[in-house]
Amino acid sequence: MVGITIGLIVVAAASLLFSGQIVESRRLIAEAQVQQDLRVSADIIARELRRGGAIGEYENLQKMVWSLGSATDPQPNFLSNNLTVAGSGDEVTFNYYPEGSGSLIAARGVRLTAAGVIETRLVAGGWQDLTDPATMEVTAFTVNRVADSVAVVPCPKECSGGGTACWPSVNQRTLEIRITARHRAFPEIVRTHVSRVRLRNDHFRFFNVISPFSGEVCPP
Amino acid sequence: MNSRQQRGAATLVVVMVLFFIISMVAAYTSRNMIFEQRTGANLYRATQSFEAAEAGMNWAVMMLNSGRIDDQCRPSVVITDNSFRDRYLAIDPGTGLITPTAALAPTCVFDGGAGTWTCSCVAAGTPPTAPAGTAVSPAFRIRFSAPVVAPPASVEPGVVRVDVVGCTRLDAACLDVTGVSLSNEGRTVLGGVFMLSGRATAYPQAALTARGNVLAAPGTGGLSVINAVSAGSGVAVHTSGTVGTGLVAITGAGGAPGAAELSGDTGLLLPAIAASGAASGITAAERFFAAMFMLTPQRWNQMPGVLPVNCGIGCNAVDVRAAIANNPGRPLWLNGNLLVNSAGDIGDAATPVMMVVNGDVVFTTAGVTVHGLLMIRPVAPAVSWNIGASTASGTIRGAVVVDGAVTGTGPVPSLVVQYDDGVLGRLRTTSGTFFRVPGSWRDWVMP
Repeated sequence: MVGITIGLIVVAAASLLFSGQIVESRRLIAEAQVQQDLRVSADIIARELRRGGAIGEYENLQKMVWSLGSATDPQPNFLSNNLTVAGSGDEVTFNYYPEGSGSLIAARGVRLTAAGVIETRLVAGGWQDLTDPATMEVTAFTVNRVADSVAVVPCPKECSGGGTACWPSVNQRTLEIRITARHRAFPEIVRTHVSRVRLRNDHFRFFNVISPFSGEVCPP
Repeated sequence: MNSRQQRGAATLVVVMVLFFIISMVAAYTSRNMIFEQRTGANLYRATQSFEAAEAGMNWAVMMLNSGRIDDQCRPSVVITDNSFRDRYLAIDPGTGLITPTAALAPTCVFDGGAGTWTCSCVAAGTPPTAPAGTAVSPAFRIRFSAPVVAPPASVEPGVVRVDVVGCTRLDAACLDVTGVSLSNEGRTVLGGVFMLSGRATAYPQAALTARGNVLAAPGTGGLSVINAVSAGSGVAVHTSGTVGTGLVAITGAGGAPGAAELSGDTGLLLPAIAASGAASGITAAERFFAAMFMLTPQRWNQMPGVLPVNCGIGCNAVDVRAAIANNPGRPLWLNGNLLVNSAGDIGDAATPVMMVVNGDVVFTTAGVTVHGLLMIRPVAPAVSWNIGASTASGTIRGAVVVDGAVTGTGPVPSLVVQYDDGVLGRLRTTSGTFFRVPGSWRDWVMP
């Protein structure tokens, strides 16, 4: 009788422990899922943004530098200016050109949908899910463009109305990306990932921003 | 064995089975932990290789803009050592085209145990050895090559392609641009285009250009200005003010004295612009500087290729010669007067120097020739280059630009400023700062 009693107590304790383990284990997996999904998404977004403005074609790259004796005007980097943070900061579009992909004019971007999924346009065409909608819900995605670090290039002439505001400049761009996500099955699991990305290809802003291909670096 | 004991044994068996199941669950949980750990380790390695490659890219920029180095890429003053630029690149002084030369690529490896980088800059020989310890040792290797352009386009002057491979181990196959990654190791390939620029963008057309009068007072002298280059502008003195009668000789392209001055050119006098709103202002002196260098002086002197020489009241000729010898191809920014006070030329026809002198240029030892482009910026309260401070004759071959007037009574025999397009041509192609062309950074491999 005593044996059975002890046995039952042990069985009860063991099953309690067992079920506790199962729940904890599921929670742990859920946490890992959220973390993993966040980490990978943030990594892919950072990688993509870093490339913003890159031109994978030496013929075009050469035209953007001007050397003494060049017969032609310098050309602008036609992609580095395409960096836009839209909406309430939950959509960013940019552009780069890997050689041979034929994606010269295809805009790239990252955005948050109403359904709580981060979508990307990694290749020419439509948007596709970056985060797993079944695993987690992205509750907040903000892209904050940190104030550019600007180096002004002095020109021989003043702007038409006077002053130096129209002079060309080299702008270093930095973005801060903040993603907050919640697990679908365990809503108490909420994680936030913050990363800062400096776009490696600085933007050289010409005087003539409307039609920079005119080669007007400085006010005429 | 009686029945009471047998019932106890049954309990034991049940308990054992339960514990076994629990341990299985625990093992399953830790399996997830191991998976997490693996993912973390992969991310760690990927980040390390990326950071190593990034470090390599920036290191390459800095090294191309530095002076003499030894085989371990450390600064050197040994006369037989050359600079990183000279080791890996050949720059044609005529065309400015850059040809990568070395068989071996510069390589660095990080010793996680000691916390230091070890580098190798031997153009031919043995690469560095991997750290002996068990700590992770990321490495990078840099390859220079000519950009691949499809005809009819051709490679522009001053441009070189750079590929950097970062790997979490010092391994030849992993560090090769066309190589493969090793199992369990991180590997990143970054690329870019470097350009040699940051030098003057507009070269003076006259031997002496001044923002002010040149020897305004009648009766002064001791300065000869010559522009005998037949294909050039023929202008010897170019000034916003007047040219005094005191010059010993002004000789133009035809050799005709006195016929080669361009005075009263108000184009040299760009007025200051006041700051308005968010746009910053700029002084007249800064605009004069920017007209030639396309940058304000305070930005230009921060370029990695520009070597600041701090020498108090004056930079002695011996210090300047040492700075030039140890830093081939780098423009100098002298914080103080240039004192030509010992025998021996400063720069030569093959390796001229671009110098911005924040002060005066004073010759006190006779017979010295300075080869290069001199920008003389008088420091307040001085407003002119006072040639009267010189007590010995001297020659400047190249061109002189003065951010102010030229005054004083020079030594006898006189100072000579002679326009030399050969010197300026070499400065144009071989001197300056290497920088990464915006738009060229990429993290994928290109053919």
